[in-house]
Amino acid sequence: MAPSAPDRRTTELAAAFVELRTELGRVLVGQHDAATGLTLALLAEQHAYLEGPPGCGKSELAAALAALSGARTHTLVFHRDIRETDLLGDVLLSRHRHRGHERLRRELIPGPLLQAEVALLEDLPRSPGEALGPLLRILAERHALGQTLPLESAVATGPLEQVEAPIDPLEPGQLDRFAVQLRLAGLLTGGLFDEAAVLLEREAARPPARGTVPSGTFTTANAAPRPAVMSTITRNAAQRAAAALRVEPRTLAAYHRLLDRLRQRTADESASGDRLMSDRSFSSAALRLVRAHAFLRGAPAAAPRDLGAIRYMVAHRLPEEVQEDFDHILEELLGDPPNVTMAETGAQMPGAQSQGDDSDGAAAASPASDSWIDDKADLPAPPSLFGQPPPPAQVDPLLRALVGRIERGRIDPDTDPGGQPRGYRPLRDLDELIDADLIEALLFAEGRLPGAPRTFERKRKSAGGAVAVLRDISASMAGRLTVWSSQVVLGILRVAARRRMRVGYVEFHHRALPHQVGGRLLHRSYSRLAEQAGQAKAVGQTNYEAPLRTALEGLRGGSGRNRHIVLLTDGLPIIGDTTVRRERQLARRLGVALHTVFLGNGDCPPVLDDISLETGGLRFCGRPLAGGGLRLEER
Amino acid sequence: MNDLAPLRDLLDHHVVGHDEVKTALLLRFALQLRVSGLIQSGVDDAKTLIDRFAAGSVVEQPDPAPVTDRATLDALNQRMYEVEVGAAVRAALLDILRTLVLEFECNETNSLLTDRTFLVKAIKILRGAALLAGRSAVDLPDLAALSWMTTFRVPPEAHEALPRIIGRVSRQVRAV
Repeated sequence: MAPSAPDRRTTELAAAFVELRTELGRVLVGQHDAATGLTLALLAEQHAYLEGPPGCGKSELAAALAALSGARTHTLVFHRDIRETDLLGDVLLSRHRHRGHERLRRELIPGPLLQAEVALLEDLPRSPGEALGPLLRILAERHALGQTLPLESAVATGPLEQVEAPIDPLEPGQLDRFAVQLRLAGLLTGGLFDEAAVLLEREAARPPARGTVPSGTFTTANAAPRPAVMSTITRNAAQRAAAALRVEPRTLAAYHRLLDRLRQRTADESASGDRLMSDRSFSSAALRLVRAHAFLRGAPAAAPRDLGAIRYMVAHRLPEEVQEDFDHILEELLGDPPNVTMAETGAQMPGAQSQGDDSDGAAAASPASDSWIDDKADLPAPPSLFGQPPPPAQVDPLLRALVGRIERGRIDPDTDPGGQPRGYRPLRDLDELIDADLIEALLFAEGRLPGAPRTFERKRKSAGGAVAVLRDISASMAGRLTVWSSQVVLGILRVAARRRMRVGYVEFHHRALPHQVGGRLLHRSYSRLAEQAGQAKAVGQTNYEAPLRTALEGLRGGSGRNRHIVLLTDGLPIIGDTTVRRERQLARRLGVALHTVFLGNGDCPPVLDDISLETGGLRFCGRPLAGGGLRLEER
Repeated sequence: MNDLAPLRDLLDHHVVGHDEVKTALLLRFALQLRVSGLIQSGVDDAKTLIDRFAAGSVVEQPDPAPVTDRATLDALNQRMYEVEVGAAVRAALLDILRTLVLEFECNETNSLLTDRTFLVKAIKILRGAALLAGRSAVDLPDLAALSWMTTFRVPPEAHEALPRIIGRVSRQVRAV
């Protein structure tokens, strides 16, 4: 039986939390995931842990949640001398005379944890063990000194481990008390300069906060008091309603599959970082968050797409590689055909794919919502890339060459024959003798070994690498060039998907228009980019500097040799630094290969050659054929 | 981070124990200056000071007389928020920060290039610099004040290069 639609009261309750999330999103620029995660934590009555570098807004966001939610709040700033009594309160003993006798009266002065509905735990990792142990126990039990606590959610903040040493980081088992785990990045050090520009503009326009100027004070606090967006009655009613939401059987089935997949990926010994999939978190807390996600969508029951809420739990529970892949794993599970195709046909070379496969894959691409609540059903159907298909672009030569460079980028025989040794395997090629077991290689060379020597089985810690596609959408790209460049982009996406490479996609004219997912330029949401690539509209003038800078900023945070940028254009840059000198230098320093693809009949701008030659990139050009197609060949 | 030593010494003198508190305090200072003795930094200035003492016109530990009052400071603080920060200055500030991140590779492990300091407090410092210069709008020369914020927050080579970076970026912004 299909679940009935939510009633008016439920809709109102959900709207209050949606407003809370919207307001939280306004508090901090560029921290949408954190705003969503905190909203879900409060709605699901779970605790949250915010981690990030100094000055990125952890405390401000936590304080805003407390203020906007209308909850009774207490803030605890942790330091190494904090005691249990600072959390729970003190016991006061007083003497009284009663009928000629002396009596001792014991009175509890309740501490912050006994009173708070939302507790803010600032700098939690600074807490000494004597206070941390009881605190974590109380957070789990919500019961202390014989009374049930009114605590709905505790929001703890902590630094990134490497920044404010010598603080001992909390262990995964301790962090497991916090269902929601969020890692915030600084806008500057995270390379989010567009968001930084927005923040600068906002600060430049900000009036003095109320109470800033009165005589006798020089406080520079600039956060104006914010009114609560809901009452305690509304908040508690919404929490009860969310907790009572039904979970559809198909959602549970998908959840079991998701857990299986996460377990498999986490068991991979090459994965790095914390790993703790506790029963407590994944049997109870996760479903609370999933229900809360559905409640916020206004859904009558938790559907499979609500499993996306689990992404806010994984910062310290899954290895980093698995975290990065979470959205992709979920997309695959929920039956996103293009991703399954792209990710599970890794054995095939891209050249073996027909053009028909290209268009099929693109047409079948299903969009994933940029919204914090994934709701594919509410999105319009993806536009057909090739409604009136022109003759196709022959992209295989480019893809084959690109694959060659990517494969070459994975191996540096001098320092690293391809990864860390994980065991042995039979020798396949005499070239591998250099990486064989030394004794067996010597015996083999002397003819005293009956077979071939064993060679190391190597695995790379971060397989895949990254590729960013920069696509010119200036006015001159209108018409067939737009369609052909879409085909090139799709081909590159397939190459990346087969190798589990992270991808970035930046369209550009006079400005760079990066398509980010979860605030990141590089990700593995291939289908989302495939869908985006079919929607480009040609407008404006050409600027190489902005997209190159954007892509390099995105690649800068990563590591490894296998990083590529493919610049797709049909014309000379006329905006910005037309020589892109600084960007070429930076690419060389970062070891990023810049491949250039010039489309059209005109002369290829010399700067494209400079870009490729200086960075070891490929040089391709695409010439329209007499028959109407496009041939891509090396320049 | 060895450059933090002078400030740590200062904190050691006033705060006993509490190493974490000291670190946190250090990060809270928007302006960070390194002051060296005149003899070490400039012989001419040292000579001037010696001449003053020799002439008997300088008292060794003078009691400075107030030159302003609380009401004036409050009024100035209010006016500071009225100082305009235009798009050109904001673009230049962002380009300077971008240069520190991309060219000097300032990151979370070697720097304290925080959003709070360089995207929020920096605006106030720039406004203050403009106000002190008697202007109602921040101008590109005011960006020089950024050098007082980077002393202990970025690697020494980046701090030393900052005036050059500011000059280059200012020229580019003016050209546009």
